[in-house]
Amino acid sequence: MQRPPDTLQDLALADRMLRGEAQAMSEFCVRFLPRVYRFALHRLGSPDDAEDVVQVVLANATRRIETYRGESPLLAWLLVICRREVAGHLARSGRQVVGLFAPGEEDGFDNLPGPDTDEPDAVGAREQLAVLVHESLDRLPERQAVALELKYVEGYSSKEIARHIGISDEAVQSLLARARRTFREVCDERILEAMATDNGR
Amino acid sequence: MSTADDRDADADLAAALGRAGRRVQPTAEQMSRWQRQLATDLARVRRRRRLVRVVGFAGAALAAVLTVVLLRPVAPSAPEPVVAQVAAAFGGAAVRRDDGRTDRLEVGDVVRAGQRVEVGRRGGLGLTIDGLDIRIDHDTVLELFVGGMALRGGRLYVDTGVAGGGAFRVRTPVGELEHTGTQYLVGVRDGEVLAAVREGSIVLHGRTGDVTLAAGSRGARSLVVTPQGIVTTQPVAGRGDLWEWAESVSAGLPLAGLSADAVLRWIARERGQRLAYATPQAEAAARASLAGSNRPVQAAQALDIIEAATSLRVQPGTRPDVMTVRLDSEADQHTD
Repeated sequence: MQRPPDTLQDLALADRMLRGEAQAMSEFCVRFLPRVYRFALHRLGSPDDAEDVVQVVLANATRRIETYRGESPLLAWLLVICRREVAGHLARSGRQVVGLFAPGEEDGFDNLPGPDTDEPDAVGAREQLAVLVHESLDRLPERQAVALELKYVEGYSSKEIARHIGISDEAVQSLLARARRTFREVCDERILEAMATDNGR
Repeated sequence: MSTADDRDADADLAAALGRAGRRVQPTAEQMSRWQRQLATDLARVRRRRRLVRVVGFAGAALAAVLTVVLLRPVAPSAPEPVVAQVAAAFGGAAVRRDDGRTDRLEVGDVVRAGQRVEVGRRGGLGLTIDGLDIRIDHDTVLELFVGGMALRGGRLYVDTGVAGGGAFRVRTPVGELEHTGTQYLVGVRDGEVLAAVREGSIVLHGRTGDVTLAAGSRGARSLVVTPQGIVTTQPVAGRGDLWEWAESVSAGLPLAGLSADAVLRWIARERGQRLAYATPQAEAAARASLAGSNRPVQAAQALDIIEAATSLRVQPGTRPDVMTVRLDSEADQHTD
């Protein structure tokens, strides 16, 4: 079976981890665990519960890492495990799981409930939109996501971003252009609608 | 070069990102903890894979040997393999024989696969199984097999040690438990299963699916499964009544030649705590070797010996999960 290059890299990472390479384990943690944590946090609403879920996902993933065949990206594979654990956590705490776990897309993310435009609580709607934005950023390659955050959240200049990431100013321009394009491709439609609404005001 | 439309669209994107703010990041402590857990869990997976490879090579040789053996006249059947050794025995603990009679268990005895172990009302039993420290409470009945045991009733505690220990499964009426480098206990009563973990994680392979229970930053967690398969989990204290019985069934530690630091770490682990020194001076003092005997002593007695033989003192701290050690002179200056 022909696998895309990303999953080949993920397979190689899994092999290196199984051989005990400390650097591979560190890379795995840095690349994936913050995203798994946020995935759980966005659905559970509690940092403590999200941390518990990450701990369990890590235990389950390690037990099954030998079965990872690279048929999907490693992040998607982890999010399947996380989704199952979040559903179990919600069920055990008596909370409803409604419409949160539609069949997963290739990247492993599923549908989050978005802002209710009929909801009079504007603050709540903004917070929910922020969650959608963050989830969309998590669908990007991490370098693109970081570049967007440094530029539009932290207000870094291109030169400052270049110093932070360790690339040239020209490379930052190109990275930001790619990141903006990718963000629009993967982001939730509700974010695009909200942006269009803002533009019309 | 971007068009005016592109610039407007980028402005919308910038506004949306700016309003959303930075993504939440786990703390450095959380990342460090997860990385340590990952390393421990993967070490266990690698040990299991090595064992599978060894068994695979041995299998080929065994096939050849069996061919010869099967052609020979049938010899009297060999006993079942030894799966455990008794490390501690208190009160009434026995193994039931095929003829229904019981043989009392003493330290050093071996227990074989298929044997039924019964611990009486005032008994306690410690077993060593493949590097694991297994402690069995009073009123417990279990049957041993290669790689685990079936818990019929009662309670047992498992400490895989810092190195992680071997694979080990506990069969219960609601499913089979396996662990990942851990301290945990499991009890069965009237078909209901209680499991609690204060280090590492365990997985219950139940009839309706797997449930993983992991000790987190906030400490121990427990899991209860009713005979109907209803599962509830909740945080529990990592010390106290639920765990202290296991200390009294410990095989103990011979202190001779060990440093006070090594003994204190063992005591802290017995108690589900992390060792911390109040001052560098206390830590330096703990490096001294103890002149104990080779007779194993349990945690409480070991602590008495340390406090009698050194100027180190364990002080109750504000955190129940930490055992703080100070020098005697420092202890007078602190009011906890």
